Amino acid sequence: MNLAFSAEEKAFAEEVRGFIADNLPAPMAAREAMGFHAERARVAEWQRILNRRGWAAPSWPVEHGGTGWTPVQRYIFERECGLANAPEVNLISLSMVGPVLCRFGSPALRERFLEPILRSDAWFCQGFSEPEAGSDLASLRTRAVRDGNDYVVDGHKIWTTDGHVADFMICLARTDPEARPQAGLSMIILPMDDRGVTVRPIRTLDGDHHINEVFLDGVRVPAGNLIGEPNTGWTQAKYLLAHERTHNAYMGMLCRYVARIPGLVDAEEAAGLPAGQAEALRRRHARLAIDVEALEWSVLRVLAAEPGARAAASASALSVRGARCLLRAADLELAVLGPQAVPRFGPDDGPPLPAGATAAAPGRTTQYLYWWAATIFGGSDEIQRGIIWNAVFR
Amino acid sequence: MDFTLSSEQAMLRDGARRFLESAGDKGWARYAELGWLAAAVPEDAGGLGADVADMALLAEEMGRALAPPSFADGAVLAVRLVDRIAGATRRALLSGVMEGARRLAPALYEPRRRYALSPETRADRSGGGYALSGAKVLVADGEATDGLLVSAALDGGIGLFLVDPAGPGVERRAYDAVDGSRFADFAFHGAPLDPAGLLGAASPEILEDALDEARLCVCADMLGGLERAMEMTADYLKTRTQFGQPLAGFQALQHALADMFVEADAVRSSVFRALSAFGGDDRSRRRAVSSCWVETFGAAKQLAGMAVHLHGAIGFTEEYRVGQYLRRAMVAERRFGDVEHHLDRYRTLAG
Ligand SMILES: Cc1cc2nc3c(=O)[nH]c(=O)nc-3n(C[C@H](O)[C@H](O)[C@H](O)COP(=O)(O)OP(=O)(O)OC[C@H]3O[C@@H](n4cnc5c(N)ncnc54)[C@H](O)[C@@H]3O)c2cc1C
Repeated sequence: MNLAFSAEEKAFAEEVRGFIADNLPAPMAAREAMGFHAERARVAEWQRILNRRGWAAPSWPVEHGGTGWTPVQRYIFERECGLANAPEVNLISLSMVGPVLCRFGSPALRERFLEPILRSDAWFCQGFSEPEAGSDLASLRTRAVRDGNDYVVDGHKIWTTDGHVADFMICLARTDPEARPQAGLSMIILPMDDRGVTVRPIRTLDGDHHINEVFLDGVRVPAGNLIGEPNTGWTQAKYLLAHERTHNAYMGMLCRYVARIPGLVDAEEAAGLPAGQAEALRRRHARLAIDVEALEWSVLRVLAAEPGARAAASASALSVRGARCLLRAADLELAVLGPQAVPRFGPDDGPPLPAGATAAAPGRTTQYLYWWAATIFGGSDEIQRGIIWNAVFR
Repeated sequence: MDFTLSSEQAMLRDGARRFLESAGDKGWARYAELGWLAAAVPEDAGGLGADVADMALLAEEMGRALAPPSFADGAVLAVRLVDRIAGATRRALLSGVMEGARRLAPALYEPRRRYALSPETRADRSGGGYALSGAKVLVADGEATDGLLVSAALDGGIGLFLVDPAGPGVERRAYDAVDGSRFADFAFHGAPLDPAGLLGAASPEILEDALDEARLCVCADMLGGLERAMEMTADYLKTRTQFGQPLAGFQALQHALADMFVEADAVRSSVFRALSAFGGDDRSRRRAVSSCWVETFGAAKQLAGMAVHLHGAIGFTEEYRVGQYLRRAMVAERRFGDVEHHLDRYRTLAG
């Protein structure tokens, strides 16, 4: 057993911190800190800054433009970016499509997409979920039918994050309707500007627009856009979803909350929050900080591959606890803000409306609402509990 | 970072598990034969000088097996106190502990003073020695001990005294704790001590630091117990049939157990984190230990209680072992500070 960050890891954290301090534009960080969804242009600007340093794709193999970092270094990078209010990168392109292409893609697909992804010129959305296929993803109905040198794709995707701004979709479709549900699926890349693609926006509870419905109507793509062998899509999808096993702990975001809440309590106390209540809120914060500390070590245990049958279960536990901690953190901020958290703000609505309200208020309600989605996507809490039962107890 | 047990650690754990699960005498004398009482004693005093991770491993196994919980007092805290504070008598006392010849019981806490470590118990100089007055509570093994380690105010500071629990002027009242372990309270009515009774000078900080390793052992003990309670619960659900099928087939129960795993896994992470802090500076270590205490005992009763709940009425019986983990949690969580105390300590130590 060796339970310490190495000297190299500590030096690495310093290096990352220094780089972010020197390169993350202040207005970008300020906007991100508010908690509104970052749109493509803003995210791409940050990704390009990272790419110039060679840091856009930490999870790719070095020969394809990755960083060669250890899992713990990748975690440190994610945490420092979160703490410093850097926008979250496009995970679908950088942490899902990229690794899948590196692992399963043909040389031609890699040639065509990897470099553009790194330069933020190719933006992907993920077309997995359908109206009738959510948690039970393998029941999906979108079909890709071979026609000469092409596939023709028909179907209906939903909840597609960034579908309205993406250049491509990585689409999970049925290529063998006869096989059992998991065995007949393939992953295929579609251009979003095809005539057969229709994107309809979905407004969400958090008052934002980031997910969409996508109708695929006779979308014709070259057979070479299918990743790997036909009917191996389920293996690829599992690889893709498992690739960032610890991301669902949201450590960067949680560290951000833990770091900033004490200042917010101090400011509100100075502005009239009664001392007894401020004290109670500080205790809630300490309790949260302690849980986040434990969560960080759960992440490290999964990353360092603590031996034993429980690794899969531990990764699922992270996801459940991550979402729970985020909700607690965001709810604590609402409690600190009190009545200032009532008005609805958009990202560009200017200063808070009620006289005397703090500039910290906009974005807080949006973020709180968004974290309820974290209990649903990426495998809902119930799905994670099922994984835990199977891995540990069954 | 590497979470794999070394082969020595794996042997320690497996050996401990085998021994604790076996039938036969598991008394303190057997602990001495196994070398467990020498584990925390530094090598320069003839001990094994085991690090805190080894101590936590042992504690975890003891928790699983519901072994007598006073190991943290008698074999960890007492050793740390003597090691840090005792001058001339250090070696002799430590060898006594290792051989099982002496059974020392720390007596630091006082009636109605919660977890304060600045004693109101007083040692007055008297005829070349001392006279001890005051009271101490919740002394684990207070009945079996042959030497109390008593903190007392002395000349404006704190002294640590070795006190004969059967000596003149010492009144002992032994009782059962909720978990069936034996504790005792002591009152000192000007109890006379000879000059060698003073082991050395202490301070609340020294006492706190000596406590930290024992605290971590209490957390590890609880973790071992909680994980065992979960295993027992899963096994039970697989064998108990209702509505024509094993209860384990019901998703509500699977998920209840999965939720317990989520909580217990957080405790395990917190224990690792605190272990890692023993290599660092004092403030980080103190803070990490308090963080671990809050994490562990913030979850323990709910977890152990759910293990009872998921067993149905059989879990509520005294005979069935699973409920013992709940009782053990109720005692352990108040041993060396409780959740409220450690949350305060954690906050006080913030940067
Ligand atoms: C903000 C957001 C962004 C998203 N982005 C994308 C995206 O970019 N691409 C994409 O493909 N998808 C995306 N999704 C979809 C997401 O993957 C699905 O929402 C998720 O898989 C759950 O499916 P569902 O919504 O159909 O819920 P359902 O599967 O219908 O579940 C409804 C409820 O039932 C519970 N449940 C389901 N099955 C079981 C069971 N077996 N046992 C017990 N309980 C069960 C669930 O936990 C949930 O509480 C996004 C979702 C959200 C909210």
